[in-house]
Amino acid sequence: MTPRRITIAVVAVLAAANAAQITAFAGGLGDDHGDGTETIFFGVVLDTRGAPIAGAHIGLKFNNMSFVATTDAIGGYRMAVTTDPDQSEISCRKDGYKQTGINRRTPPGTEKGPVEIDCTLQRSP
Amino acid sequence: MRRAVLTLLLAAVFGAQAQAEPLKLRYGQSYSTLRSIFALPIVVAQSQGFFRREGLDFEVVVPLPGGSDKMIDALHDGTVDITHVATPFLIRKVLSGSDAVAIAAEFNNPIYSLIAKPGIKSFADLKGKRLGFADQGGSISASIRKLLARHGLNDGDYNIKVVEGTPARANCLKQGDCDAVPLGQPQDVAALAEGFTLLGLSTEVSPQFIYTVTAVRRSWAQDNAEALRRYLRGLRSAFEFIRDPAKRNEVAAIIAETNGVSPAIAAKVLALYFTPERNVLPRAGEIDRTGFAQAIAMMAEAGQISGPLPSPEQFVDRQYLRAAGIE
Repeated sequence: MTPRRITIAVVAVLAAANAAQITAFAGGLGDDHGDGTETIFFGVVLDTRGAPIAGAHIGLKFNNMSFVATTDAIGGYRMAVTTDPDQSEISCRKDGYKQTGINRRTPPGTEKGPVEIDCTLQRSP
Repeated sequence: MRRAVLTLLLAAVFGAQAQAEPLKLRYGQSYSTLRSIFALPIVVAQSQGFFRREGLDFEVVVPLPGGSDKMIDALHDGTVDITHVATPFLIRKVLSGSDAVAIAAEFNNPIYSLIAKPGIKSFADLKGKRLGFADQGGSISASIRKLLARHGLNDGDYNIKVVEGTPARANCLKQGDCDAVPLGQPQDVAALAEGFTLLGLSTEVSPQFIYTVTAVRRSWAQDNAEALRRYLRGLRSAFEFIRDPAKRNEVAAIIAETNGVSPAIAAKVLALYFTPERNVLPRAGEIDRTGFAQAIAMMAEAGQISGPLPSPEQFVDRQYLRAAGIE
C-alpha cells in the first residue's frame, strides 16, 4: 500500500468515525442541529499528493442555500443537514489552491445514510 | 452640444447596466433558525423575488457547526457578508472588540410560550422537573427565568438542559426528555393543538425589545453600501407583504411550508402577531432605540454586562436605513 493510500485510508476511517459520532446525537440536544432527519455528509479534503488540507472551506449547495464547514486538522469535515443528497452539490476551496476534483464515494440514490464525498485541491502556482 | 448629448447617453446606458448588474450578497443564518418563524422576512423576500427585483444575487449561507453565538464570527472569517443574529450575541461580540453593527431589525418582542407535558398543570408542578432552555446567555432564557421566578420558581427548583432552537426543544418535549420548554411559533400553537399545556408567555414579564437584527462589519459595509441599500429595500418589501391583510393566506402558506405545520396553525400564528397588533415584526426594518436599549438592560439584569450601560448607538448604524429611505 502506498503512503498516499495509507493516508487516505486513515483519514477516511477517522472521518467515518466522526460521522458515526454525529449520528449518535443527531437531533442532538445542546448543539445546533435539528430533528434527526438530517443527512450526514462527510469526507476529506486532500491535495494532489494525498496530504490532508486543514482549514479548507467545504460548501454544500442545495436550492438557494449554502451550508459551509471547515476541515479539521486531518482534512476531515462533516455536516448534518436536511437536504436531498442527490440534489446537493459539494465544492471546496482554500486560499492559494484551486479545486481539481470531487469524488463521491457513496453512490447516488443510496438509501438514507451518511454520504461520503472527498474533494481535491491543487496549490495554485 | 453633440458631445454633451453623447456623454449623457453613455452615462444612461452604463448607469442602467450598473443597476442591472446583480450584486452578490451572502446572508448568514444559523441552522436552528433556518426553518423557524424568525426566518420569515427572508423567506418571504426570497420567495416573492424582492431581493432579485432590487438587483441582488442573494444567498443564504449556514455555517456549520453553527449556533447563535457563531454568527458574528462568520462575518469575521469571511464566511458571510451580513448575518441574522440575536441582539445579545451582537452586543457581546461588540463589547469584546468586534466592529459588527446592526443595520436593520428583523424581529421584535418575541413571544415564547412555556409549554409543559400534558400532566403538568401549573408552575408548582415544575419543581424538580427538567426544563429545556435555549442558550443560557440569550434573551429567551432570561425571560423564561423571570417568568418562572414570578410564579415562585427560582434557580435550583428545576433542572436545565440546554436545547438550541424551538424545533429541537419541541422534540425534547414530545420525546419526554424535557418536562417543559419555551417554544416560539408555530411549534407552540401546534403543541397546544396536540394537548400539551400552556403555562405562560414570555411577554408576561418581558418589556418590548429588539430580538434579532441584521448585522454587518462596519469595514465591509463602507465598501458595499449599495448592496446593503438593495438588501434593506428588499427587506422592507417583505415586511410590507407580511403585514398586508390581503396577503395573509399567502403568508400563512409560506409559514406552513417552511415550518412544517398546517395552514390553519400558521393562520393562528399570524392572528397572534397581528390581531391585535403586538409589534412582533418591524414595519420596514427600522431599529427602535428604546427597544435596543431594553435589550441591553435585559443583559445587564442577567449579569452579562457590568458597569454603566452602553448606548444603543454603539451597536447600531442607521446610515444604510436612511439610504434605503426607511429611516
